[in-house]
Amino acid sequence: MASQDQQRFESLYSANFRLIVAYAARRTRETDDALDVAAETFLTAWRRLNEVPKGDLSLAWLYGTARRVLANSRRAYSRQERLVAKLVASDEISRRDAVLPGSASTSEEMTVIAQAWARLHVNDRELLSLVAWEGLSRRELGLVLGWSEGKARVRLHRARKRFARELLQEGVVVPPSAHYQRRARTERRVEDAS
Amino acid sequence: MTDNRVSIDLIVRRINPVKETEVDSLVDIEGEQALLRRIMTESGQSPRRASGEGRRRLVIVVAAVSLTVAAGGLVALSVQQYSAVKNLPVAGSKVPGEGAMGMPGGRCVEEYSLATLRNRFFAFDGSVTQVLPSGDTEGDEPFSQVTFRVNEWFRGDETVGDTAEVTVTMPDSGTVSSVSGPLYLEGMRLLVSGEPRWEGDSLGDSIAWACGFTRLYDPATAGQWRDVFSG
Repeated sequence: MASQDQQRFESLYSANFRLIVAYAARRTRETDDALDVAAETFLTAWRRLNEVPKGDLSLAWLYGTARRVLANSRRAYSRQERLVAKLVASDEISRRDAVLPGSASTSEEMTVIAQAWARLHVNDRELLSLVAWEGLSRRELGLVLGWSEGKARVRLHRARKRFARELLQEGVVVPPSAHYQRRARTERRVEDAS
Repeated sequence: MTDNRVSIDLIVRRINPVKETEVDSLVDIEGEQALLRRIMTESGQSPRRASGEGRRRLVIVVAAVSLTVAAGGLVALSVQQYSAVKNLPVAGSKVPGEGAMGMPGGRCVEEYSLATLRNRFFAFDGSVTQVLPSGDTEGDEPFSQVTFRVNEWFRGDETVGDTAEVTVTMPDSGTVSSVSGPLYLEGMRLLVSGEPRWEGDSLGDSIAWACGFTRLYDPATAGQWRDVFSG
């Protein structure tokens, strides 16, 4: 039995370790902090292997655990003071308005997007990023956040609307999806050609 | 109603601070395997054992890494545990201020205060005019080259003459905000202080310190910095 557990955990770890490090790195911006989060996440998975769902949903379970580890790190001022100070400081930075030049170069467009993003509630950012950065489905999203699939769908819809509204305040009109799909295809072609 | 779901998701994807293609570069395989062995052995013999002992031991390892680096050069007794990540703390580094950058793997070797600020080689109030992506990966530490239009020199201008622009090495941050993390955006106004990168005596290759030594501009703090360096 122990051998089966070990084999299963090793498979879980090798398939997902880097994805969890990346998840944490996207939210801490520090690779060593990200590794701390990933280590604690997989330690929890090892301890609770019988609670980890088998199949595709195991990654969503790991994301959910990593999310709680990260949240605990933010709360644990005495134990993780350095990480907390960093997160607080970065949040402060992200909420400040940058001085924007007037033209519409790519970097300026990104600046505008970043400003709208920074004004979103942290829960909306987490919802949107789990879908766009980690590529989660609504079902997986529900598992990560402890919601039903239906609730995840509704919350995601609202978060998208709020982000579109924030973008609009910055003068960015979110085009219909087809436009962006064409643009993404063009960008990919340019990248492939270079 | 127009369906813009995909558009929104693509916009969010553009500000992803760690792209999918970059994930593998975060980790090296040997360290990854070492951590796996550590979890499965030192953290407990069985995955279902409920004891918290193993967890505490791993946390202690994390603390040991932090303490080692904070002590500024003691033997990195547990660093190999964390060699999964390329941007490791480098205990005993000779690069002045490297540990204070707040960069991946770095630690604050000096806490920010007006007293410690006084020790910095250069300090200025500047607005970001250009952010170059991390071209310098020396020592596996990612950096950005950030060019500032200097609004006011507090210290260090004597080494560069009467210049209105200076380029400083900063911890890599990309160019846009994300959920967290420092960011440098064109037009952003910062108070920046730091040291020559290689123990030199000019700003030709200088590095900004984080941990409070580089921060967003505000008039009150700028006034304090002015007082510190004029005193």
